[in-house]
Amino acid sequence: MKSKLKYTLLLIFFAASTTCAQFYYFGRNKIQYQKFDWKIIRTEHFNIYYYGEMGEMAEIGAVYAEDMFNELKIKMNSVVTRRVPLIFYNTSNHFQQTNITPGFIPEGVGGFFEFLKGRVVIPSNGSLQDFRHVIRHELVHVFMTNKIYRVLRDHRESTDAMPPLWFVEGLAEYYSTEPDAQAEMVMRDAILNNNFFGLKNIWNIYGSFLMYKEGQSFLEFVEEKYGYEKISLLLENFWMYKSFNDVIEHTLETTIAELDNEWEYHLKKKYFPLYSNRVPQNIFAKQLTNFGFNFSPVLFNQDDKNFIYFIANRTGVSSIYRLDLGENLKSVNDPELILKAEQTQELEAFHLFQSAIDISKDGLLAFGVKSGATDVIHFLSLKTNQIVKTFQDDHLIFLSSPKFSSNGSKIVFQGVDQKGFSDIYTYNLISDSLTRLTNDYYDDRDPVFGPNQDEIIFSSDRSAGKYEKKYNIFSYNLNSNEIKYLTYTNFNNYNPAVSPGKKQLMFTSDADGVRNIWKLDITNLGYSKTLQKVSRFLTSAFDPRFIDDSTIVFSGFEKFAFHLYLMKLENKSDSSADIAMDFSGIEGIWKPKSFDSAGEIKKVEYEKEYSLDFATGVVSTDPVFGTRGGAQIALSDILGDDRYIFMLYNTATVQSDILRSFNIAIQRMNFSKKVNYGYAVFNFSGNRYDITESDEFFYERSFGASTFLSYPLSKFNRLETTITLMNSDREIVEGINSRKSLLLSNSVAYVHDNSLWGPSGPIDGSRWLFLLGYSSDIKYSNINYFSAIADYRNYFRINYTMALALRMSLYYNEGKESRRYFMGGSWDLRGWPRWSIRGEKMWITSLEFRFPLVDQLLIKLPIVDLGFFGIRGAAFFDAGSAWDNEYKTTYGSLGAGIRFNLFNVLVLRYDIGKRIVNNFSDFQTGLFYQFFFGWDF
Amino acid sequence: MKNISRIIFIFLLVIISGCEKSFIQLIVQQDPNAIPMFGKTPSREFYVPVTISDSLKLIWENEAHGSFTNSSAVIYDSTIFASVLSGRIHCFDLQTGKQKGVLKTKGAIYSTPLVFRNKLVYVLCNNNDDFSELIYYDLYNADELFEMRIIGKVLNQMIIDGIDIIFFTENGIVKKYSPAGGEIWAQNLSSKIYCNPALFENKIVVGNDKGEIIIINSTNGDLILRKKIGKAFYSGVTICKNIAYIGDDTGILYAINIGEGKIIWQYNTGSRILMNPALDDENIFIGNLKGELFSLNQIDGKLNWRINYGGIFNSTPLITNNRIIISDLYKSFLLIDKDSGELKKKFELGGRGKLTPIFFDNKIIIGFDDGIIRAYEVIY
Repeated sequence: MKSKLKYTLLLIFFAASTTCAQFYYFGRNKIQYQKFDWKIIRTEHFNIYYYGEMGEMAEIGAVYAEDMFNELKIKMNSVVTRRVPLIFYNTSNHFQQTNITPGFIPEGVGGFFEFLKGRVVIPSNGSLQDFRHVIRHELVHVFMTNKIYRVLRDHRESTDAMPPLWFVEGLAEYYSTEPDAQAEMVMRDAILNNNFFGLKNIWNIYGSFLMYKEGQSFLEFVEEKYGYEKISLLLENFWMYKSFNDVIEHTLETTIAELDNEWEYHLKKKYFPLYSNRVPQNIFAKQLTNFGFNFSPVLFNQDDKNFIYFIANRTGVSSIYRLDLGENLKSVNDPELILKAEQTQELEAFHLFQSAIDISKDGLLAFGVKSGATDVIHFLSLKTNQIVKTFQDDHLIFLSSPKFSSNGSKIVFQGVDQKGFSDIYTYNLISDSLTRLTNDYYDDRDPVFGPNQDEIIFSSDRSAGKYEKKYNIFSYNLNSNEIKYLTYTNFNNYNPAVSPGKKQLMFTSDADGVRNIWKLDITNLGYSKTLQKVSRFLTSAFDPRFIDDSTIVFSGFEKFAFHLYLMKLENKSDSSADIAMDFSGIEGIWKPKSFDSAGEIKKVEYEKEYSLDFATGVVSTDPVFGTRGGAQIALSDILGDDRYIFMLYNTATVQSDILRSFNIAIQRMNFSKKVNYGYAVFNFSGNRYDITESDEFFYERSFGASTFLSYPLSKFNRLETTITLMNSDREIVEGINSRKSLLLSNSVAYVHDNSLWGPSGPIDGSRWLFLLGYSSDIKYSNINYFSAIADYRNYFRINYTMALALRMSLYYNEGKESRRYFMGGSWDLRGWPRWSIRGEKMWITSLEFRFPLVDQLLIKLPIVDLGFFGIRGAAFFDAGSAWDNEYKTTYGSLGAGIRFNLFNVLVLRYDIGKRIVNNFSDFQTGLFYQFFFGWDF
Repeated sequence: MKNISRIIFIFLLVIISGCEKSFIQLIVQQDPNAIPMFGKTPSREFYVPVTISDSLKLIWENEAHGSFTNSSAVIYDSTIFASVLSGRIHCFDLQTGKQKGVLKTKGAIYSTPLVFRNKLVYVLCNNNDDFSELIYYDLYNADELFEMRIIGKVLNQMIIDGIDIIFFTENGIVKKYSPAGGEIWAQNLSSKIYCNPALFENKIVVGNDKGEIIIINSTNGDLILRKKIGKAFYSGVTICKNIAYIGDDTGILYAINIGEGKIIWQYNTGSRILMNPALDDENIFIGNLKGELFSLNQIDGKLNWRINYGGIFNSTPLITNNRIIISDLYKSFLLIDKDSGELKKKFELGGRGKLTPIFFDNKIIIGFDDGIIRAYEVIY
């Protein structure tokens, strides 16, 4: 929108490397809260990058990686001969700061493999088993891409082909992990609730977790029916056909349709019998919610009313909600929003799948949330709905699942420290003191105060001996600091909860394949040694909490959603399902595997190694400027913190112009610190066409330097400044009319963006920018003007998919030779010819109603099915004007349009409406029709 | 204008040279010492009774423009023939490495070409359809003699049986062809075959992907034995004195009496085996994808030694009186003491070691990624 076409090259230059801006000058900030002191462990096949205190975790990860390397070379009959860079972060909070990918990393992403330079980036979340799983998963990607590349290259085929995503991710899961309760839960749910998509229709669930698990399930089926070796044969045969389905059909000697039938039958045969002794959650329990992803319910009695507080994502952002249970423990209303996250730094993001909330008897709601560099635990007064206290410790990066003591003076919680260790802590709210209870590499989680307040009960993978590394329930004696097993099973037991009467210890266990609810009786003698089954659900239950001694509430997974359920406990449990525990198998402690000899690893200091990001050459031809050619090269270090871009091209149209038409620019951007900065030197020369200056056509040579600085105040707000010194020599009429200037331009801007995006543009939150700038010709005094921009956009959410969007913008330049702004077209003043309204001053306002039109459009063609998603509609009203010295007229338009998101890359827009003409007094005759591309404002 | 003329001339030159018909024209003499097929003989011999030093001198390197499978080159009358997956067959002079001819085809050649009686026989696998072409090529006249279309892909090694040839397709068809290109017999095994077969005294032995060992009469194609003994076989059969040796995909090496079809002994190496076992007069040598090499007694399968060299072994080693020469996928080939397993020397390569080394006229021929062939001379 800014009228700086002259600086287009420079803008493109900055845009190419600015990581924080999602679109145009708005965008959230990816903040480097601290500078990481990177170090390297060099093993036989890997360079392991780590920082700070996580050396021990990095060494453990290095062993996992080497083990997997040796596994995969056999499984895939392939070897990666380069040393693979593995970059470790100690928590997902630090992982989200990585510059290896320019985009934001959503909550829940466990790691990624970056194809360009073959880098693998993985956070530890405190669980060594998860850490191992993710390392293995990502290394499968490394080996698979290497294998596919080799197979194609060996056959002299083009090496840019890859198997479909379902296979890529399914293979990574299949080779990296055993079928577990999570996979079982997802596949049971898909089959029993008719949510299963075979290979033919798997594109319907592209990119979803279900796709990962279906891919894994398919490969397990292939192993069982056709043999383990057929999996690697699919990769060996990849060169044979263009279509991967043909590769499958050739390798397995059957058709995709037959395979789908066999696979579905195989799964139905496996899961349908479960109906004989298991029940869906909504049969055996009462479903309290019917929309979104709902977790961690906890009861609070307020003014004699029973409320369930819980965290959920029901609108695209995670928030805390309250549900009125009414007198008969039946939900009487839709949940009420209590606290909305992901809009301010104070409440940056809930860890939805990993955390839990709790409420003290005095009505203090404790919850963990990301806030800036680390997590914090906020205490929300339910009486005033205000956050009254906050706990934060710089050493603890990740905080989760705070639970109150019975008198409300203490909380116990799980924290992950700088080493990446997940341990149990208590915090005294009165004395403001923190106590660390455990300190080791075992994953200690889900702590609660026990029936005796001197006791903490928690889940941990510290189980040793016969059931090594299984998550069992433990108790920690606060007086003696002794840790004891409460369960000792070959299952994974989580989420302990003590009944109000202190007679039962409830928890979830995957004893029967998925996570169901089990309990131990508590007597005067202590904890029972028999596991009693409480629920027999087909799919998993999480976070059981007591309403009273005979009623619990929990979060359950069914029909690919997480809902809250309320369940009455049966007086007598099914004793045939009881599991008697034998504690005699406990033996010592387990230690993670280490390298056999110190010589297998070498620790070295990190030094920046730059390598090529991309190198492109472009030749373009157009009727105005003729043929132009050039190249762009980008380099960055292995961590993506420091980037250089080199650009060279020539705009000469005749041979004699070659020397005076070179365009060269070199730019450096640094993202390693909280303040992002960059600088560039440039020389641009050639014929220019400037739409802002009455369609001028001239020759210009400009050279100079520019600096850029961005200081993020939070994820949502930042200060920006740019300074450019440029010498410009312009020939408007060759040899006759020229203009020289030595232009110093500087600007400072405050940018805010906490918007939430739908398929075609923002639908929630707000975005605004205030910019002040000054441009002056410091040598010839030919140019001298100031700029001010105020751009405000707000998005009022009506429901999950509908929103009202408002834009109010003012652009103001004043002074000698000040630049002109322009508007008109599909992006701003709709109905008017593109960029046809120009002036040194400009204002525009828009009001737009955004609504869903078609969620999914399937077209079945004879050969292939096509699916289109997220087609949106809009009704709009625009008004605005632009002028130089004297305000002339007001323009406007109103109408409706359709937006079509094409693979999340491009939005196609088609608008129909009427222009408001004659100084905003009449509608145009007939209608305007406008087709273009671009996101909604 | 002058420059444009030059550019057009160079452009046309490139086009014309690209369209040039590829051919191999040679006058080859009968060569009793030749290595005319993978493993030299139908029973697959990878033993050369010479004693070599550890001093190897690279004497030449040339390129076959493609990638090798786990096969070998063949040598006939001082000419090396090597096929690659990009559908080319190159022939090089053994002494100088100079290319003597090339055949460029469209498809993939997995099986080592056969060279005998002035003929070059090879099988070309089609890229997108499930068929192959068996081609008899006249080296003297540089022309194709016959071309037979075969349903299925030939992904393993062919056998010369006297004057006839025998091959297996991936989908389990086994055929024998005469020198005139006539089909002598065919047998459908109805199972996938990836294993390299071997022939000994009219018995063709092969394993399939169901873990069955199959013995066929080479005279008439009759099935003599079909017996499940292990897991899928992706490796190859080597036969010595009526005993067939073969390793399966779980790493178990079997010694099978092909007269009775009985397992004499078996040894679990613990990891996938893709190579043919290599034998000398007393012992058997086998490597796996874990990078381990094993020396076992041929008679009872007793372990002499096992050593993990850290790489990946999937192509068959060459055995001499004192050394094992083996290609490693980890960009090298190794010289290993045959008696102790001690690594004597490691030679780095520019890519993954692929071909089974061959020894001829005091030279060791090695092949690695992207079709690079090297000849090393043994210095004494």
